[in-house]
Amino acid sequence: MSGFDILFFVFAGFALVSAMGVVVSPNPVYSALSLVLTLFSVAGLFLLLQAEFLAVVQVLTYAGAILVLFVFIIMLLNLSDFELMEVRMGNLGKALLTLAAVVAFITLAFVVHLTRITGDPAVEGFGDISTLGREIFTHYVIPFEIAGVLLTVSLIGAVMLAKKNLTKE
Amino acid sequence: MVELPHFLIVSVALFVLGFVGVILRRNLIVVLMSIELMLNGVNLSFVAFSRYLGDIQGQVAGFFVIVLAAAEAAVGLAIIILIFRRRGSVQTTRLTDLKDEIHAA
Amino acid sequence: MTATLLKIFVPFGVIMQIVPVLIWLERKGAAYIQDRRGPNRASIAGVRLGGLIHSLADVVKLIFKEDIWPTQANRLIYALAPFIAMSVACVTFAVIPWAAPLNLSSGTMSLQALDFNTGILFIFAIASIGVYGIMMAGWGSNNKFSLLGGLRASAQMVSYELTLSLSVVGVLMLAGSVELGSIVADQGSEVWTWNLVRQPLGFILFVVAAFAETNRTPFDLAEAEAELVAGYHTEYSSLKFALFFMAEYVNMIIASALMATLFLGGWQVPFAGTEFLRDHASNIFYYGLLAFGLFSILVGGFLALRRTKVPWKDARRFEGKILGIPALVVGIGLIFWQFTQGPVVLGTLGSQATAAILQFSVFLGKILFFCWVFIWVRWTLPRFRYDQLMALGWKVMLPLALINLVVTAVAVLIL
Repeated sequence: MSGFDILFFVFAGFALVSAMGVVVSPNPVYSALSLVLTLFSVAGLFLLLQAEFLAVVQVLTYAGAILVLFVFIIMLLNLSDFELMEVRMGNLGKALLTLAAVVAFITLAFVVHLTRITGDPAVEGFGDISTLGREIFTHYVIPFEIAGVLLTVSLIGAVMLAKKNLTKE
Repeated sequence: MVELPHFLIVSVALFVLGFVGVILRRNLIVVLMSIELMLNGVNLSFVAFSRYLGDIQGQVAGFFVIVLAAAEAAVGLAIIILIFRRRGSVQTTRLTDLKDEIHAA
Repeated sequence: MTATLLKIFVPFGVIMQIVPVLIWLERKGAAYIQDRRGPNRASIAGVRLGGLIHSLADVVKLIFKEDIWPTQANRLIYALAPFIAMSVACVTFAVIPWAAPLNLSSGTMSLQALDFNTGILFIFAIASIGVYGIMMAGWGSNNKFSLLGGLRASAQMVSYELTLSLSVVGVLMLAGSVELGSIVADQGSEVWTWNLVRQPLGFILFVVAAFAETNRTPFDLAEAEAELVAGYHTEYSSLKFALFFMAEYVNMIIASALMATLFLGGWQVPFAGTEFLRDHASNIFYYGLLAFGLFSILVGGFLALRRTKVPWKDARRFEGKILGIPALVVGIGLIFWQFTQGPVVLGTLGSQATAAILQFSVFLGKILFFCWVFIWVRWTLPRFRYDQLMALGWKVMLPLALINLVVTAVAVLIL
């Protein structure tokens, strides 16, 4: 087993365990913190896949901004204990759902197993910032601009939605 | 020894876990977080393909997915705040106004 | 392997030694700004070092204090928070370059622990995680003041991170790289090519945003003692509080190191390039030691001959003698040795090491200067109100950063 493999299993293990934590933990704060751990592990996997820039962006925007927003909202709403203890499904529903999930996982994993992908693996220094930047600013300029517009629109939309209507009160 | 399929299986597992979260959980915030989990699973497969096919486009797609996730989280959380203000609750079970009363019983 | 370990532990050790000095500087600075003497009592065998021993006494106090656990606190999150705050603060040093790369026979060796090609982004990414320490502390303590502190910190840090990142983009465009090593090398040793001159608006925005990111006054709303008791660390005591306290100073040092690296030429010695330093290393070594010897003779003489106002039978009476006489001896010895020996001819490695040590010292000097600015501002300006803080961040600093970005982009394109 090479160092690469060990790192892969460590990151993958952390990612899956903490993803499980997101889904099953009763308290949304624990869910959010588990999700931070998942994002970190996925960033580690990105590093293994030579996507350095994407790994950093993942930590910077996902863990550093989006998840902070989630935790902020959870703390701001300051849910009561009653709210935190959410209404759960019955056991039958849970069992069925778990079964469905396992079936879906096995099917997808089988598809992955059957797929034969041929291509040249990337060379060293493939996902660094200049390569990715050149690609985004040449072939993907228009999607990039649209993404910028989308972000602005969502910013304005979020402010308008969450703003208290002061004139009414 | 670790090759593309390993990464893809992790990505599938993340996606399925996120999916289970969306269906199973009743708290809107956790549902939104599970969606983020699904997006991350997809992102991982994009990047893995990008690495093993030697094509940078996968990473570009991953980049745009992160941008979308940011936009989605901002609007989604704003809506959750609105719901909380109106209903005093973020449970999906309380948001059943459009449910057909006759059949719901 | 050894080189890597050295590169990790030497800067880390130096930073950890600066923390108590900064705490001392903060107290003394505050005292003199408020027209009083500041800490000057704690002593070891009469030696007070101008109050520096107080930092040591503080450490002892914090270790032996009772470790209080609030009964209603969420124990896991409550315990984890200070460790996250501290470890996140320490990791960032890895990518900051400390001196010019060395030319060894086995190739060039950059003097930073981690030569990561996304450099500055790595720092931003790790720094953005730091807010979790504060938020977890605020939520985990189960205290309304702590919770409010955590809320304020999270909103503030996310808002100012935008300005912080945008204000640096101008620098990145000028250097054409995100690696801190290339950014420093790009600035050159002449003072007027430093980014402080080329990017004045960017520098101001960066400094203000860095103040907000490190939760220092005038932006320390997360711990505003007049409104929130002590904000997020109200419930903390003993070593867990000490970790938060140290994390604040470590964050300050990182922010200062970043300001120095990005805008003040990092390890560049003013008007003396790396080549110049290496060529004249022998002379620098000789005259440097001579100057040091002269300096310790002056200081030692002053301390040894100074008359004290301390009463008889007090150990503090001999403080000047205890410190002064060894300094005098060392100074005289050094000068004598230098005069009999003459200039030493240093080898390639020796001259490179001398240049590196000089650059490292200059860098440390720049860091300490910015640390002093942090302290100076803290004891000069009043705290912002929360809505003012948000208005400043979103309505003033973000547009200014965008303007700076556009102007720099046009300038880079034309020139």
